[in-house]
Amino acid sequence: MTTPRPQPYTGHRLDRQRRVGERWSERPGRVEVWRSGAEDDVYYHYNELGFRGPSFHPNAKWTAFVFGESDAFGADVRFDEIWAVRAAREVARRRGLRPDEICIQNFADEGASNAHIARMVLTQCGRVRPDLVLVNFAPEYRVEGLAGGETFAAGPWVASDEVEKAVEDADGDDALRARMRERLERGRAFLEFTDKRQSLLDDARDMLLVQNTLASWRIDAVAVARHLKALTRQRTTEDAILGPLIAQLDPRFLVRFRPTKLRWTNDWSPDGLHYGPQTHAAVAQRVVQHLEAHLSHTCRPTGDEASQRTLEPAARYANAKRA
Amino acid sequence: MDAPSPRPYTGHRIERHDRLGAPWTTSSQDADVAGTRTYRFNALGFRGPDYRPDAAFKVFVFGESDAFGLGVDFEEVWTTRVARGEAKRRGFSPEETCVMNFAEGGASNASIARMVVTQCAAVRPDLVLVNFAQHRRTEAYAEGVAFPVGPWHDDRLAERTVQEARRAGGLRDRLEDQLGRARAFLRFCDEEQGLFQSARDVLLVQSTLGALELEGIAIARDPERYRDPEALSDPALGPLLRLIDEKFFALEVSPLKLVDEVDWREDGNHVGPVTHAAIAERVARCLEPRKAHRTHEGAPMDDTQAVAEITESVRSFYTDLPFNFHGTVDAAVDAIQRPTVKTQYPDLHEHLKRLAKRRTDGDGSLDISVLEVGCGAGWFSHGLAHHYAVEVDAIDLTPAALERARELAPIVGTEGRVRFRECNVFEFHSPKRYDLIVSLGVLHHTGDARRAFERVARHLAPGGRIYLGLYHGPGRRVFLDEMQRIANEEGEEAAFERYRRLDRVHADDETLARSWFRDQVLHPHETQHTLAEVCEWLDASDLDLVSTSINRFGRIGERSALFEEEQGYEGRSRRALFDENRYFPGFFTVFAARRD
Repeated sequence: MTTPRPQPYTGHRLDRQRRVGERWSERPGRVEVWRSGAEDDVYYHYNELGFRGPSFHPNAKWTAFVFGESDAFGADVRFDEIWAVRAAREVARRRGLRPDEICIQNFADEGASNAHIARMVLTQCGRVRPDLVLVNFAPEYRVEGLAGGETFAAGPWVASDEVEKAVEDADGDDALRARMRERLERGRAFLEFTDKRQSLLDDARDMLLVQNTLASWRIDAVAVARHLKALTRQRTTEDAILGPLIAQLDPRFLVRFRPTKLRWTNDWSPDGLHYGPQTHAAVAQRVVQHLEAHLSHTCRPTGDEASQRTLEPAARYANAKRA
Repeated sequence: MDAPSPRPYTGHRIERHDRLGAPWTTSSQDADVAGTRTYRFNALGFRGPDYRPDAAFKVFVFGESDAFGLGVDFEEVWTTRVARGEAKRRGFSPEETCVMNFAEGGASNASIARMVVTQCAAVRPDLVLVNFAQHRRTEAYAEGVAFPVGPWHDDRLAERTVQEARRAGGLRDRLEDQLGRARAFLRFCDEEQGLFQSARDVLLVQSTLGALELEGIAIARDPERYRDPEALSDPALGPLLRLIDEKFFALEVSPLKLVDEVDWREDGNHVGPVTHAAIAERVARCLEPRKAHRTHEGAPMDDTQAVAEITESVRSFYTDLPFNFHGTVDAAVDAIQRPTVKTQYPDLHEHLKRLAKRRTDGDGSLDISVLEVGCGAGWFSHGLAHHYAVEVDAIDLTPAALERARELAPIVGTEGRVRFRECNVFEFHSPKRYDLIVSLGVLHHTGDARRAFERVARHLAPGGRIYLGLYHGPGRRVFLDEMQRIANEEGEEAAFERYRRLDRVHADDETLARSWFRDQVLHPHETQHTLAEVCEWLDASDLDLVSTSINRFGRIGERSALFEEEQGYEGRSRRALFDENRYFPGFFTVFAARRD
């Protein structure tokens, strides 16, 4: 019988799509600027499936899957410094596993939307059931588009003149430029359609899709979100439409702390968008603490049947896993 | 403490918001302006009677106008009919049943998913019925109101509504904003994108019911879209679509194809009571064998890649030499004309005889339809058509085998009564329902025998029967281990010679003997099963065990006695092979009937 393995990369980056099947590396030009004196410090190494990090290890005793956007991808930090990789390794260590016995697959992608993240969680965990899932949800105003069998990522950046210029200056034939133009137009139409509240509504559905799917599959999981504040502020939770939906996000699954709150001073990349290794380490520590508490919680006795009937899905999530 | 109650209406219809708290009625709704129907809304703002927290059987309905029942009375809506029928079947009186219909005309799958998540969190129903919406719709959020967006925003009517509102003042700004946003959405979301988004919404409903361990079933007007080959082969969309659990989302139900002529309502877009009744009848039939879609196992694993690799290796294996392949056409014809079914499968023979008698006693026009899954070179299909005058649809993976099967038809005289089709069992779909489905020695080579079984069993007609032949776990190992031992120690030819001495039936024809030897000993993929395991498959598909070779086609009493007898299958195999020098490849048959 063929050993199941994850699906190769199907995201929006053409270079990663084209090089599926080979291992390759790239060195983003901007990293040496903020990492003092370490010009060739950070490389992105891609595996045969097109994801950052080592190759998939089908015979590993313990497997962790990482999903998310640039924070989980580890923009401008080494692979080993990414919060999710650190957290997964620490959890494995505490379970008595050696590094060579574990496999960490990082499916995250820069610029990913929650729609993309949800698709990746479903399709990758639908192929191979990992022991732990770590998710870094994306901020608002993003979406994953599908055009002619190819995906594209749309977000606030499609409104910028730089993107417009990039499309005009794109290498390649007219057909490619026309395709890029069409995606840009569709991305801009999406931005015209969405707004802050709309985006939160769509995000909540995608986050619940991840949560409930993993719960129904009994997979241990934890997630963080930079835009947690927007999701949990009083105005949102009391909203007749958003409130009941967001209430279903289990605090055991979606950790109620904001990674940016843990940010170390000056621990930012030069683009001002991504945090550095110290912050990643702090996030990893908090996630591990949360996971420990979460796992110990799952060892508690279950409630009686009457209380089960009235539990909200949030609590059911934990109960399902306990079972 | 108050009993939990569903959440009140949060849609875009102002009149439903304004009248929350007390039941009210109207004679027109959306496109239904005939004024001949009564739409009664309950205190929570949903169509139908008030919510009753003390009801013993609660059914929640979600969906768009088909589930809402635009143009038909509440009791005529397919969802209400199914709810009432299920209540009755489970022994609940109408007074003990509460049907809450949360559906709304123009709803999108996004809003349906939101409603399922929030209402099922507030109160756990006993059954959930969903009518998914068409694609290219969404739920937009503006100023505390969620309003539906869909292709209708591109037409002139939408423009005119805004113009009228502009003249009247008041709502103008809001409507203009909604129209602008809706049109932006439609520029972003084409048909492909619509399906991409719908797949996620369907999976949100499926996983939510799974996490909550709720029973549910869903249909859609356009189920074909979810198994469109082009969409399934898309690297981004295909894997999502494959996670849809067909035990939950009944893709085999095409609501608009259930009646000869749809009784469209005055608006030309909504169906009438006849079609609703047909949908209800079909859904009820789907629901029963599904045995409570307790999705707590979650969506099925997407093992498509692994199964596809197995399928390819099996196809390639049989392309070299199909199974049961005679050296000459004459020999193949001769084999078809022998009464093999009677001698090898006596239980099936008796059943076919009874069917034939029913036909003879009746008006003679009774067609008996048979499906053979994995027909190979057509020996069995032709045999059934030849001896029992039945109509057979036969599928197989291997063109080389089908070529021989087709070649035999004019010679045996079964032309027009046996139709051969190249098809993978996992892709098989037919609107036809069969009186008999046969699959002998095939499903254990598919990579997922249970899933293959469930797929074909779905095509049984009411009262139909299925006949399976599978490798038996303990019974098979004895033979296989011995053959593989000889092949490893003395070589493949020595194993073939030993096989020939055992299998005297096929030994005289060199090609035939080799085709059997390869199939039984060298196959690239097989799984082995037990009667106890297959009985679980039968239960899940609402089938009753009729007979089995495990007890030599004897009477079926307590299953536990059969399973006990099954324990001796390994011993039977060992005795046959080593004491009696007899061919015993560890194959067993199961004959089952659909409960109706």
